[in-house]
Amino acid sequence: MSEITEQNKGFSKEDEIILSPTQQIIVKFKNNRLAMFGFWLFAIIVTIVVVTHFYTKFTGYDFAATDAALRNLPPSWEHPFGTDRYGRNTFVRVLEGGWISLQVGFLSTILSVTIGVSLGSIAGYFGGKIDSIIMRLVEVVASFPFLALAFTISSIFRDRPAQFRLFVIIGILGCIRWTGLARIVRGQILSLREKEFILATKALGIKKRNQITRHLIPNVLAMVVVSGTLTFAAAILGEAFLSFLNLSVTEPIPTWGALLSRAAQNSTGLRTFWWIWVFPGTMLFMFIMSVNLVGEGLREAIDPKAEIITKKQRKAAKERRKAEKKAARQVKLASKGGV
Amino acid sequence: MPNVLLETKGIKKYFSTGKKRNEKKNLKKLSLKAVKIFKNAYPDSSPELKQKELFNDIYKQFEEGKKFSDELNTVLTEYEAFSNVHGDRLYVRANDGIDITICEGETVGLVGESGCGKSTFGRTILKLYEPTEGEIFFNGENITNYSNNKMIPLRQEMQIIFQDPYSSLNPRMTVGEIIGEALLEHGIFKSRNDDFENYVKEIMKTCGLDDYMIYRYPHEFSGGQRQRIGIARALALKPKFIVCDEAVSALDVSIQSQVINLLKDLQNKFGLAYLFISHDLSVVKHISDRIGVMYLGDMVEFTDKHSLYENPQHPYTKALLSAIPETDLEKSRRKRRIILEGDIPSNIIVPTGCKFHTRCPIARDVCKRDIPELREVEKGHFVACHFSGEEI
Repeated sequence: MSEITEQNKGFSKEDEIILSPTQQIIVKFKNNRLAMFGFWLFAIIVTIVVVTHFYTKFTGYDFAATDAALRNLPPSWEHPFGTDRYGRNTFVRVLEGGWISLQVGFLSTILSVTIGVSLGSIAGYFGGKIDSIIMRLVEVVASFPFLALAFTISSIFRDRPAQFRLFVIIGILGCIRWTGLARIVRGQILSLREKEFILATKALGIKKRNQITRHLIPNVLAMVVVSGTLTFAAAILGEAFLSFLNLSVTEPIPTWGALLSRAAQNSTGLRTFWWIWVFPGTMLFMFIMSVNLVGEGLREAIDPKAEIITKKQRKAAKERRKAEKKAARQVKLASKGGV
Repeated sequence: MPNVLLETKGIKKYFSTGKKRNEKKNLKKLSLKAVKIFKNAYPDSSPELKQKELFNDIYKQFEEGKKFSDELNTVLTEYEAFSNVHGDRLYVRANDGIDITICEGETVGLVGESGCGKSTFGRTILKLYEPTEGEIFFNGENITNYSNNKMIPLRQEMQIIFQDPYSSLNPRMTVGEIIGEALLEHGIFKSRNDDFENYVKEIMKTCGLDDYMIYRYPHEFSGGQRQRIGIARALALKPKFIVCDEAVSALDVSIQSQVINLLKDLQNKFGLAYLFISHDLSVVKHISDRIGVMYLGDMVEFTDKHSLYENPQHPYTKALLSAIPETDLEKSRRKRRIILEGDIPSNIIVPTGCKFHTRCPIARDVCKRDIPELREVEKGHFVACHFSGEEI
């Protein structure tokens, strides 16, 4: 008792550290080890990919250049990821391949999250006729066969430049994947709309637009972040899948999906020349994992009810556990000695 | 005479239940009864007809104006009444024509049992619900048909404090944002500058919240503190009129008294008018100037505090007041409790005539037939009862 009062002596309200909401989010995110790991992984991959892209662009690296003398070489210092069957350096191709995958991931996620959240929240907030119109639209879009659509559109634009076809793919991915998010957001907003704080905003004279953007959407943001990261991963995988089917950008521009696709075309190559598929596969895996980790961390950080466990506290807890274990062992030893 | 701030004329608020009235059972029962009586009276008329056809025949004759025996006539009249209401849309009659006047700087209390439409009335006069019928005047303006956008500037002057401090605050906003949001929305402050923050802190201090709590989230507060956040949010706009919708019911007694004293201080400071909705008679007695008693969507008695507590006229008010526990033993021995029998009737299919007649100890035939009007029995004392002031 006396210890506590001594500790609290001289502690006043002024000593309390006051953090603004943004600072709180940053602190929470920084103290989440897994999220920080994901964040650094994400940052490193993005930096490398971007640097490689501009390096190859300015030095005029020729992705089409082949060399018959360097066919199917295993990883070495000169070619860290080995070479493919045309004698091209897989290292540069893997890093450059990320550029397309990143574009697809970011742009189609932004597209689908924007459409999904705005339409879902409008449907949920206004209800009635608007709701049923939007939800019928969702059902129509959700029942499009994705693969058939991708096949058709890709073959229509076969003669256009690769960059244009890439944006078409992004558009297809973004315009098809928003339906699930729209449904989730609508359902959440339908239940939130009946809460008293929305009635309170009406009593305060807040405009409808602000009611949706300031009160309803922040309350569904956790779901949106989780769903967004999943969409991101799904979009990159979707692009890889389309590349695998030769529906995305064509040779010689590499993407992670296209690299895997080339590797999988030949089963002998798949078995013998493992470096052709292991490296793009690993990059894809690590990148999607990092995105999911960051998403999970963000979700926890923006939740005001989530608690912060700082590094110090974690260390203290670890030491406490250690001490407990030690004490238990000693008790055990003592009892054995007693017998 | 102080200025009239808010006036309502015959406010009705019905909520649709989406169902239709089904009286098939009653109709069948009555038709069987009618046929039975008819057969007793005229044993040998058209025996070949089936019951249904026979009844249709009788009913047709009745509609054409033929007179039968008295007994049969009453049954047929009843049948007619039921068949008229069969298939009507059903509504929850939350408010059934309420007139009230609230002057500047006064507190009007509103009491009544659960489900009698007090909260609905409080929200309807703020136009949070669209009134089904009736007119609302605020500062002399008829605001009944104002659209939501047109109401926005008026929201500055009329505010509400909600009953539930847990669901009425947005869990994702800090206290500062909750209190200050409307200030920015109405353009009282242009941006989140120091002046704005100081103003919010000042309001928080007035409501008994420390200013260092400005960046905290609602879940970090206790129920009483949350209620104060709700009060601060309503007060930040400097309104003239506040509806306190059971503002203290969720709090424990010590916090209740703090909040009520706070409300009284603020009234003295800013000249506020309150509509104080509660089911706690002692709280209402403490804070109100005038008190209205509601029963099943109707105002049954409306008068100033002293005459209500000393000279109640409506039997329902008398029963309510007799239920207040007395601390003085002598008094409580002498006090006679009036116990109302039965439950509050459905407010979808309401009793005919005076709605209170099903439970009223002094009800007579006229109460079942005629709806009593809210009339002035003394100066400023309104009662809706055919036999107001009669001893029970």
